[in-house]
Amino acid sequence: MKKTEEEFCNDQFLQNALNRAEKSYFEKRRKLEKVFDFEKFKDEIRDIKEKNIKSLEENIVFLLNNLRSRGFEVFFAKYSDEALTYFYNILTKKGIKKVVKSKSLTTEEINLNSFLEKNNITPVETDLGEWLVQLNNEKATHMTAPAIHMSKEKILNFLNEKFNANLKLDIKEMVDFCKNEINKEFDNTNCGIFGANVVTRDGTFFIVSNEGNIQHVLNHDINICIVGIDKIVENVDDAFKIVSFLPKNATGQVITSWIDVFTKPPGNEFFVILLDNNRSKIAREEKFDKVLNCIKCGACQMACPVYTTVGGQLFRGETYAGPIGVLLSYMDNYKLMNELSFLCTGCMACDKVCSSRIPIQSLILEIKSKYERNNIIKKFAIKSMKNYRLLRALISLASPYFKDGIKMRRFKFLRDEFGLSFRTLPAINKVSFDTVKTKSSKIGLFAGCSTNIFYDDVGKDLVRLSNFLNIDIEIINQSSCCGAAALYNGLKVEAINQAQKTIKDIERFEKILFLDPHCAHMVQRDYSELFGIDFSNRVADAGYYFVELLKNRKYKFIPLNKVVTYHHPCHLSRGMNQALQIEDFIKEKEKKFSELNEKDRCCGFAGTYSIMHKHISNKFVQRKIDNIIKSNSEVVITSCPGCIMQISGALDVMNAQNISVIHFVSYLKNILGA
Amino acid sequence: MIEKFIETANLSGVEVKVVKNINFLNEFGLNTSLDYDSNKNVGFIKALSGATESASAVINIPKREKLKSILNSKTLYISIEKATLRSTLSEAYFLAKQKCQDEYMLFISGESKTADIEKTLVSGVQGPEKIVFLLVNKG
Ligand code: SF4
Ligand code: SF4
Repeated sequence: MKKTEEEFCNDQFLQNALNRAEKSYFEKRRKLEKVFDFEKFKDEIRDIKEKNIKSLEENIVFLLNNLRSRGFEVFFAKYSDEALTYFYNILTKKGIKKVVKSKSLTTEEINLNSFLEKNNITPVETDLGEWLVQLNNEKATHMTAPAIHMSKEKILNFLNEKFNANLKLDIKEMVDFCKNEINKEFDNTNCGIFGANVVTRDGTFFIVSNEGNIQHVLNHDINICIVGIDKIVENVDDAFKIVSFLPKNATGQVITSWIDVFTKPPGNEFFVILLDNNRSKIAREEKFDKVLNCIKCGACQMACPVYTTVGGQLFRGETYAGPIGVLLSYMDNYKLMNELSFLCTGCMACDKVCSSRIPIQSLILEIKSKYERNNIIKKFAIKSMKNYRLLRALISLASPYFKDGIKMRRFKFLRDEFGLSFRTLPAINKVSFDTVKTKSSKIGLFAGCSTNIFYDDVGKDLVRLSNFLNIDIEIINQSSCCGAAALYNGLKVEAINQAQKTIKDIERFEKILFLDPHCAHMVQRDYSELFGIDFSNRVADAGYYFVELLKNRKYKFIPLNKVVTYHHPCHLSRGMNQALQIEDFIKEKEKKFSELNEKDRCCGFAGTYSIMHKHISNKFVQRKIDNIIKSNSEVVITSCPGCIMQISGALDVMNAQNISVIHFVSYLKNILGA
Repeated sequence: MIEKFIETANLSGVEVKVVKNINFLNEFGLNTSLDYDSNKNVGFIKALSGATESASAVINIPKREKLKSILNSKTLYISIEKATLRSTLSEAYFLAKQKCQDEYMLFISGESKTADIEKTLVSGVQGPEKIVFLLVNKG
């Protein structure tokens, strides 16, 4: 039976393995980031990939001609079954019954191993991680660390069982045992199968590795290489740039121990399969062509909080796991795209680390809109946000019933169903905040649904603050939600409708302030993508706006004088790049500021995500709270009502009344005595 | 160039020695007049060039025995002439290609290793457990 989300979240072995891997990856990466300019590398890789994907057809023709002119057998496989048949034909013609393989994502994509096994040919993986997953009848769950989901305890158990061995829980001893078993296989065949990380169009192949198994695989009479057409680049310089950055971003290594560069491998016969499998189709799609920029470093997997919470056995398509797994599965017409894409919280941690700056989160949103999955209640709730008159009426109706917050302590079923067992929700406002009357101004405040429905106190704090600072800010009387909730739930048409209404509300302002970074980021990025309207110079997080403004004014601040920390909301930090400045401001004011570990890791709210994927959401917020507790903070400041809802709601369930969570605008109002 | 090479190699945790010649390897029973040689525990190989950006040595592989010799050495010494150091992998590759037309070039930057079990690093999988770069500065 398929393991559930809850089971993955509670699998302690998996959790330990993923935690150790994530920690080790980021420690190494951070060290390297101090020495190498990762941002410059990313720009270069993006440019190289974009250039080469644009010339994809030309590159293919060049490569085919070059390889053929040198006398190699080259096959262009439009689809995976063609590639498999070609493998079969070579191997049967040569009478080969066993092959050794080095790690190749492309062979995983076409399911080569199971195909060969069905045809009585034994494939032996020789990369240690691949060998372990093959032995355990599993699939690789990470691009560069295939057995990342397996804890050492699990590996020890099955090695002892399978080989009737008596190994101890000692990684060196286990590795030595595995390598000896693998080593026996190199002499049992005359055929090695491998992939390549890059190939130039004149036919120079590049393979990066660490173990030394690839060189053994190449050292066979018959060499067969399969390579996706997206790996072709124009020249050797492009190729070296890619293989130089790949290990830095993939594993925090300066370079891999080995890079094989050849125009012909050492064997006597060399066969090459160029695999298309929908790549040329994707290359013609305006937005999704960027998927082909991927250099398969797996960094997005390590950065993704969903992946590092449930692992690549759950968060995966047929072949690939994690953020890039969603995109490549889409390319591969995976059947369960809706389930897969809706596992994403939209936190953009993947975008931040991507080697070639693929806008992964934005592409996943696009995929969500193609495979929308919402129940009737959710659809109704989201659609009602387009009609603010109706929403206001609903707020007034519901308010008396939820004046103490939404806790559902009595109805266990509803509590579990709506994720209220790990987090309560705040009281509903008496009236929607945006009905507050203010003077007209060139500066508008788009309060957003969360303030309008739940957090009128934050809105009121902003009004007090602006009065104190003598700035006229007009509260925008909203006609609709900005559309972010709809967009993030795959309802793109609805999002467009809501956005069009919002544009009418906001377009007359010179500056538009936001209390919720979701809305700010939606207007800044997505309105530009949806309508080509650039609001970027006019949009600002309200807190950030005040911080900038106060740089030129002299005021007396009365610090809280408590242990204070700052949680960076996803859309403010990675979406708008405005969180660090706010943190710096607080640091300057509060002597007892305590920096939060993993300060920009998603808290797991993400709107309805915390209801649809309550177990994952719960894991996220528990980790956030663990970090808060470790920081010894009495006050958590943040800039997003959603994060406040999630963190304070979870603290409420834990009865942790000694920690309060407040919006930065409220904090600023307090320390200014406004 | 030498300093830069050492600095980068240190980042990767690889040992570098600056030497005037590699005669001391004879004491391990290796014949340093050859292009490469190895016995059960130690081997050496002469690189065509080196890249400082990643502290890598470029080695030509004209035949399969040479590859076997590299893989079977427990400790592998790789000598690189100071004059053949280049900044980038690409420049080092082109220099190697100028010197020899072999179809297979191997860049070595560290020992054989794996971190496949819980990201714990273990050296010496299917190749040398230790790499020592010898930067030959004849003065
Ligand atoms: S946006 Fe966040 S949750 Fe979604 S795939 Fe990227 S890292 Fe994972
Ligand atoms: S999407 Fe980006 S980060 Fe993820 S594997 Fe591809 S290149 Fe690496």
